Amino acid sequence: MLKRSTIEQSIHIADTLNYTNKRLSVVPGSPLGNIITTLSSFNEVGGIDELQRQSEVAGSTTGTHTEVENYTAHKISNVLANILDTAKNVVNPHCRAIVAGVEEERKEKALSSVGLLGNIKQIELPAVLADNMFIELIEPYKTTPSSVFKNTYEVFNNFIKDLSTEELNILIKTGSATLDNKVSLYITSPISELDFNWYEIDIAALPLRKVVTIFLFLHGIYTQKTDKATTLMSSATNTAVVAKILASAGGRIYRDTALFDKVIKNGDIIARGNLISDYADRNTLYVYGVNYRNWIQTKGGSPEAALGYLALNGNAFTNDLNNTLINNPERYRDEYQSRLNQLKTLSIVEDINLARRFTADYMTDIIRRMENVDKIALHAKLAAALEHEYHGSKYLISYVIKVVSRTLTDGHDVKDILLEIDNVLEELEKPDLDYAIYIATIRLVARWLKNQVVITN
Amino acid sequence: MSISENSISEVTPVGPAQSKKEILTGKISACAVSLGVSILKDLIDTSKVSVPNTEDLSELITTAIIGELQL
Repeated sequence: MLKRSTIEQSIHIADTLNYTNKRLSVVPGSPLGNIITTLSSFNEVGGIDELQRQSEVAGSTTGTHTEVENYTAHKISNVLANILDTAKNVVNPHCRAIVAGVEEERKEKALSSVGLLGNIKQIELPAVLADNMFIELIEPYKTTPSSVFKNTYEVFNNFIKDLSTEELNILIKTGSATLDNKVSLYITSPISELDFNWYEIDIAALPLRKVVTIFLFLHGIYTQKTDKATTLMSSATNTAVVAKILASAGGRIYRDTALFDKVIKNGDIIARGNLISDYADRNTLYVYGVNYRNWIQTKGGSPEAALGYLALNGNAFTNDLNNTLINNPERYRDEYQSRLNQLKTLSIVEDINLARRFTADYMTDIIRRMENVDKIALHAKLAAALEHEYHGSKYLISYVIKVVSRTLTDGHDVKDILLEIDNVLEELEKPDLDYAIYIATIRLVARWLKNQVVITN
Repeated sequence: MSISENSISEVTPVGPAQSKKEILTGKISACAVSLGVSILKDLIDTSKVSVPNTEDLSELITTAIIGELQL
């Protein structure tokens, strides 16, 4: 039954039409048209009461107004529920990922244009190097220089080739559970640490973590912890080679450990290259964690100042630069801020190219990973969808919604609801997704109703 | 069934009398608002759309229809 409040509200539509001397007719056969037929006997000016009464009379073969309306509403709400589900669970996650990816790339391009793209990595003295038993192992070699060993591949070739993970674990175990635990925390993958060019071993040039792995590995061979190690060491030549590399590695670790201790006591921040455990990345500033955190907490330091240093000097260490950063962090923070202020805004052409390429790559990958679908057809839909007009960053979301919806769904409904939600979010002072979905759904229902009527004079 | 499917190519003649046209306009408006409200209530009842407050659905759908009709 038509509610009185509904009829009263609807009078606003009729009044607005009357004001411009316009009338409505309905598309025959449409759901709204079918509902109108239930009121066909009502054609007198009888007011709201009469209209209400007529809505409970079976005016067509399909039933009363209430029955036909309930049936239609349920059917359409099911269609809408599917549209909302697809929009929410299929299309929207891809749209969000693409927009986030484009924005991240845009930011990276802008930051790299002024040299501010970089990371800060804090390094700490590994617990294994502070372990007394380990220090006892390396102490005998403290004066042995870091050397370059050539043609060592012949000694280790077959040994390493046939080495099982189990044998490697036996070799690098020290016999102390505490020390072995510290080793495993520092060297998480011994096999990959030993995967390098064994034709030439430059002890000074290798990252510290690799040198520690080599030391433990050779110590295991030298002390013949496995049968294969015993066989290798049965050759005097091999024994000499192993002993020399072992001593050189031990010497490097001892000196680095002592140096680490010294720089921490000095209060240095910028790490020296040889104390970095991995191969250095030129876009990363390596800092001593303990001193870096202390510098921030008590001496006015900041990550921005550290990034300003990286932008200006790279990650090279010198005493002077290190001291300037410690004592005058404001200078580097100003440098960071100044560069931030110069951030290049991408040109419209660059921005359009970036968004189109990113969206194309992302969706191509999504299609590639889909199963039981006609991939050729989907790629064709994507190619056509990418041709949607895109006029720059302000329109990124609507462009992405159009491309993803057109590629992954049929019709316009999913695209329309997502665009409408985006519009509502733009209109709201405070973002509220639930409210935006609610209003967008109302607008979509209103559009669907509008498509079933025609305005006539 | 797609919600955007519709043809406006066939329109029922509504008779010559002006009053009949006005009555029909009133009926269509009332049925459109009522159907819109029923659809939204169905969606709300099945938790497909959450209602953020107690706004009058009839008023919201009426405003939205007027907007869509570009009156």
